[in-house]
Amino acid sequence: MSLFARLKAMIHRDRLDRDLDQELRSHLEMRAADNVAAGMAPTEARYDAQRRFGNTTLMKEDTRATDIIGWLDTAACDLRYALRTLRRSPGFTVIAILTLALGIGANTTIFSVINAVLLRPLPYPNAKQLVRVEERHEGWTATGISYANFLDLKNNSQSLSDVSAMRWWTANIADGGEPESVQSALVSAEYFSALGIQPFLGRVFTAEEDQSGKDNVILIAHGLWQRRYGSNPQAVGRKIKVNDELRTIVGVMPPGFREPFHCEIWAPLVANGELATNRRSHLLFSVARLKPGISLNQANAEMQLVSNRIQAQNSGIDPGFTFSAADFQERSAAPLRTPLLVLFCAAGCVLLIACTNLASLLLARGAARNKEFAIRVSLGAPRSRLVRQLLTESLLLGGLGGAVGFILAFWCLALVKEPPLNELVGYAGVSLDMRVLLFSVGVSLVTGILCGLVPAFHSARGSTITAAQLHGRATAGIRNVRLRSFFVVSEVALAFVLLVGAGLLIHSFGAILRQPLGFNPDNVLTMQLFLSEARYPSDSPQAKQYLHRVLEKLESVRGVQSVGMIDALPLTGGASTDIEIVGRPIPDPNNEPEVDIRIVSPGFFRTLEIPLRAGRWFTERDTSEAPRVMIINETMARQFWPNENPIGRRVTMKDWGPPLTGEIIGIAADVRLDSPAAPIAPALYWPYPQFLNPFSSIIVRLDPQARLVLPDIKSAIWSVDKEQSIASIQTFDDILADTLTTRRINMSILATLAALALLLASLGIYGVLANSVAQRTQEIGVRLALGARPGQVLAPVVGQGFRLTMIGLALGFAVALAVSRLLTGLLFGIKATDPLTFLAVAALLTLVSLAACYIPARRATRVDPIVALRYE
Amino acid sequence: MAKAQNEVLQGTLALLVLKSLARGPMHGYGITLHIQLVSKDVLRVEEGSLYPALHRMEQDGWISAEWGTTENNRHARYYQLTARGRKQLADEEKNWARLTQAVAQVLQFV
Repeated sequence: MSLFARLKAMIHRDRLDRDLDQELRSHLEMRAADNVAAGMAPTEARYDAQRRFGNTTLMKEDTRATDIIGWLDTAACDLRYALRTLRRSPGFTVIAILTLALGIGANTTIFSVINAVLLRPLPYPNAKQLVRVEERHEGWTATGISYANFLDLKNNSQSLSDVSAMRWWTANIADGGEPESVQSALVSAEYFSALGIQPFLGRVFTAEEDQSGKDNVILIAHGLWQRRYGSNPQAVGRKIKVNDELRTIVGVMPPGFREPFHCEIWAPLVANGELATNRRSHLLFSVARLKPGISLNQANAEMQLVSNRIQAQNSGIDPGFTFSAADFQERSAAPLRTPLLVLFCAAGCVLLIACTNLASLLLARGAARNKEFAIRVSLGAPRSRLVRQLLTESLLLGGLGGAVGFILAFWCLALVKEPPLNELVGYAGVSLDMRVLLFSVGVSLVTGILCGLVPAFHSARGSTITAAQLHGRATAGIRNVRLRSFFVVSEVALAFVLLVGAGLLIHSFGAILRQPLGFNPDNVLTMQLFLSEARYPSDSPQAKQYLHRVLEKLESVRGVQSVGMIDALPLTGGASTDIEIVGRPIPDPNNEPEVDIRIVSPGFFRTLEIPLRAGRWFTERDTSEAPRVMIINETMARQFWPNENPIGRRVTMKDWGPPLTGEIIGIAADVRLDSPAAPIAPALYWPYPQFLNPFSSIIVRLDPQARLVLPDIKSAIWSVDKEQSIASIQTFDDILADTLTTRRINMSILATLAALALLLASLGIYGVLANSVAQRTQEIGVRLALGARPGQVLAPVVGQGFRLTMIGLALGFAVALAVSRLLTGLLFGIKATDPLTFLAVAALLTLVSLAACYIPARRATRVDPIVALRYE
Repeated sequence: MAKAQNEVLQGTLALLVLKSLARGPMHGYGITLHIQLVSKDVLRVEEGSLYPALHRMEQDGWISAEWGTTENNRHARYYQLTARGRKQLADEEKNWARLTQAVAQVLQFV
């Protein structure tokens, strides 16, 4: 029917009715007149005309039904009726809406994160042109780029503009207030033009400020500006001490912008010393922009040429070096992709379970409303009207559930905007935009239809009228019970899959926590001293002197048992270096062995209670004048001297300035220097008097009985230099928690969803059994009256629930085996088909489902025979 | 209860109405009379289904309607074919011919 005609009819609704009435009247009159002409009596003539017409009201309704206005009328009527029905059973309505709201809320929340991170363009102008540039080398995954290579790319690339580079930095702020250490980034001037981001106040860096001596400027984040400078515009232009150098604040970045690294201070990236020429230190992140009209492939092809030229013209480049560019958003979101998809699937499962649950409830209600439908059918309602009525009801439930779910999602998103989740999402920023709204409306509609379709058709088909039915109780057909059983089985199966997923992640997390750390983390406090280049130049006597005095002072603080220093704390990663073993042929000059390197004080091993396997520890006598010595870990000893004693061997460290050779004097037990989930790499330790870099973490072992030593520790450090800021005072528990943040988030969300699934599935089981007990009240009453023992009544109910659970488990088992592979990348120490997890989950589900069976079963045994029989 | 044999075959009502209107504008009652007359009382249009059908055809744009007066000076709503209606009629006639021919062939096949 043409929409236009319908719309016209809609506008002329009154005229339509009037026309129809008039037309019918004229028809009847003409027929009556003809009848009279044929010789009938006038009354009879009129009656005959009317009789031929049959039910005029029905006919008018039919005519009107072909009209949009009629359709809308019916819809409004259905809706009113649906509202009334739902209001009449508030318990059912609330449960149904909440169930759906949880499912839709979870889906909307996760979708909004996916939308922000993966779907929506990042909030930069022409964000699709942004690329991340990395270096690739033979046998390595993508790495950062070196400064020298960055300069060559910037100066030679024809296909990229605004090639920028950046690296991590820590800034100690001293501006008269309490010294604070904030996450910072050193960025080249092109960074801001690449992103196309304008400062909120002031200006960004100029190209000249990339040069040493002119780099005494910083930009600060909006949050830092509010927190530290009370949103005072005068802050711009202010000179503050950053890492002991006076720098001018030249601008404030816009609210929420903390890229890269979630930093709060930006300073110019300056190449000094080694950094400018070393092509093997892959320290820099790089962002650039494709020139207009250039595709990613063209850019990569052109960069291949640039890489080849760099390789041909320079030495000291890792073999197989090329640049590679990837879409910035895609590359940045890569680590989040799998977890997000897993969580999205999980949320989908929860929604499916919620749907199934509701469908099952609607089916039960449909059975109870059999009488109502039978009456409507006998009054002339076509089946399609009943289906429509029921679908209206479920759509209404879906819509209400969606609305509540959207509010839930709004709350959940408030959580996503807090740390640590906001750091994962970054500047993309999660918000409920149009796409999310459409998604959630779509999901609600689909949910409403999915929940309602089967029960609606089922109930409408079942509503054949018989006199017996009108008078007797509504009994559920066999088909009805089968369908609900099928629902329960699928719910259990879905819940099983989710629980297995959550179980695997929890298991992995536990496995990581159970990893031996190789040291004793209890009663240890750590803090970071970042020695600024200005006061304590790297590897200078002043710096060594300073550290020596700090360690000495700390030893004498009451409550401190021992003190140590290391450049990068265990569990947090750190530097590595290529090495050469003196007296051993070099296997492949381009591919030398690489080991972790840490700089420690003699007290480090004692403080962390790391066992000595052979040789000796560093002592105070290993000074800068003494012969250079090193301690290696067991893995290094095993790997490089499998059948020899490494003590006394000499090793050359090649990557940090001029090659430095030292003698191995001891072997320490393995310690997890990188993340707790990473395998232990070979490592060597230098004593700090012989080699020092600006990073130093102090480790203090405390007397467990001592209290409130922190102020004493701080004042001990400040007694040596009162301007040195102390950053990140943490225990190893804190550090462990920090390094496992992403895993913990994945695990907790999936576990929450799985718990939800478990709850919904058990509700489903409960619902089916409670319903079946209610319907069999009579039968049970009779059996009890005839002397059946409660156990005999209980058994079939529990048996039914148990059987459904088992079938669901078997099905879920098969599905979980097939899909748990998705999680492989997120697991640690176990396979995706870990039998223990599968069994534990099966046991848990069985237990919960038995509990869900128990309540209806108990009710069955409590049936009062008299009441049951009176039901008749 | 067996339905009266002269009830118009389901689905042919539109064809019959369109064909009747091909002669010129007609009101609803006229259409019933015309079909009954031409078919020599074999076909009888149920009044209860005529008006919904007319309304539907009108909304499909096959016919248009306007108020007029009968020869007895009675107010009546006259329907007439539109261009689209003519095309529809041609299509349906073709279909019908094909259908009856096919049925005849089946019947003749011994």
